Amino acid sequence: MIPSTGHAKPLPVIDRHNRTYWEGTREHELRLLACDDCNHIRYQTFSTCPHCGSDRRHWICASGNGTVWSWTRFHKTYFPGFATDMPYVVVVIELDEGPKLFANMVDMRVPPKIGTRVKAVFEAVTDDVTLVKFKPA
Amino acid sequence: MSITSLAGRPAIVGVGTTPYGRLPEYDQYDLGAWALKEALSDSGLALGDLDGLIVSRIGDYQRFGEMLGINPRFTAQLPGQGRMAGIAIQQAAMAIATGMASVVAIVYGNNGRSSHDRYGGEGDQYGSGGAGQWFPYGMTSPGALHAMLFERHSALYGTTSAQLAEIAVTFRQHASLNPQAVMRDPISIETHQNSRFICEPLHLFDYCLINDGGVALIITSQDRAKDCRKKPVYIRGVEQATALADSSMPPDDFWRKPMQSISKRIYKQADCSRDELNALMIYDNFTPTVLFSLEGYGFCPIGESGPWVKEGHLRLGGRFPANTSGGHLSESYMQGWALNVEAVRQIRGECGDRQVENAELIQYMAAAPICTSIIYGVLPR
Repeated sequence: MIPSTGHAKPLPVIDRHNRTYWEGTREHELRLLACDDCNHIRYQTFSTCPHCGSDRRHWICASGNGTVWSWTRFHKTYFPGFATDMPYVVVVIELDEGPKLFANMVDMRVPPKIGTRVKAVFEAVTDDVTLVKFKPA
Repeated sequence: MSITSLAGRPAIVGVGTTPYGRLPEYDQYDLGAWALKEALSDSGLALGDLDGLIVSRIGDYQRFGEMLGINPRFTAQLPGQGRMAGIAIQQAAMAIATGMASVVAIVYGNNGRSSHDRYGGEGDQYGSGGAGQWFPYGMTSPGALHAMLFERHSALYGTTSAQLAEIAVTFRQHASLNPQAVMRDPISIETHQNSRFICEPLHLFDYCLINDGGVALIITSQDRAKDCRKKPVYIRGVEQATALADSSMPPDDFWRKPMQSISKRIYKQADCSRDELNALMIYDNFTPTVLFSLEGYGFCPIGESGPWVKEGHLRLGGRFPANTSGGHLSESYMQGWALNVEAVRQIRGECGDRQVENAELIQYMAAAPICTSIIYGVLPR
């Protein structure tokens, strides 16, 4: 997964399940899957709704609003691409729509307080990949 | 509906362990076979007596069976995840209870230290579907997930790192009495607090010890156990509950729901109460898991596990001596397997300086997307 684009950090593997998600981030949209039958909203791009079992689904554009659920600060370098960022913080964000996800704050150095309200921002890291990050709302 | 007792009264009649540490001359198969021979010798049974085989972390059950020259009538292979230790024992107990097998060997071989397993970075397979989708954010490793869970627990309940230190110090003290433990030098709260962060807020001493080693157990029925060398240790109860839904993300309840579900059933099955237990074996991949387990399995009120462990209940001589071998934190990370062996050795009274007096009932417990618990007894009921 080490790219030749100058972006030294790992990149997502884009496949037929998540292509629409990654097309969305390039357009500065945080897209989630919603179930046609029960309206359950999921971040994971499963073909089946974990709430009701329906395979009928559509993409929605999330508000980008959420809350910091927790964080950890990495002091061990697991990825060479993050070596210059050490120590860096990864957060768990609980989106207002329900799903949680792992992400970074725009400022990766300082852990945010749990409960901080945040807003999604979009950071292009290659021509194909734009990552969703968060900043205090 | 819950099971009130297991038919056939499954019992552990043999346990075997290799030394733990750096064993570069041995692969997973060698380590598993070594532990199995120790377990058979412990039981007084021979390879030819086995008609059931479950392997975990050993890459290929077929190769392992070929290596041993055995043809069991019940065979299964489980992945090399710690949550599988309890499942292996559950499946073996089910095989005995149904008569699908009469003598089951469950075998674990782990060469993680010599093969440089890091549990983080590009090869990280932890979590639902593997961790790869989060690598772009630098997220990796079970340690990071447990650090996030602990930070959340701290925010909700005021739990502190010094309370985690109590767990690390206690288990190291136990390890100092266990000749088989990899880390035997006692540590202090200050040693823990001054050690480097790995995934903050977790320090080095909040992490388990990756090593090479093998573990095997032989399980048979009460009837068959009479012919074995040592007195049997009965599986009085074994239960599983899961939280696979939403398991890509750390759980809001610290896996409390599946642990509470197990607790509702297991004491009925084991025909005993929590108060009668003499010791605990708590899956300690990281110190916070011990706190989550104590709350989930009902040993202290929700949110109060930090102050509760600080009162010293887990120490030898305390109300519920735990991980008397040193556990994953100080004996070796044998992914639940060696904790189950320790339960058996305690009930047999084989634990020397770390022996719990009158150890008759011991509970093993694990907290993860698959939770399992086992109650061992010196008597079948």
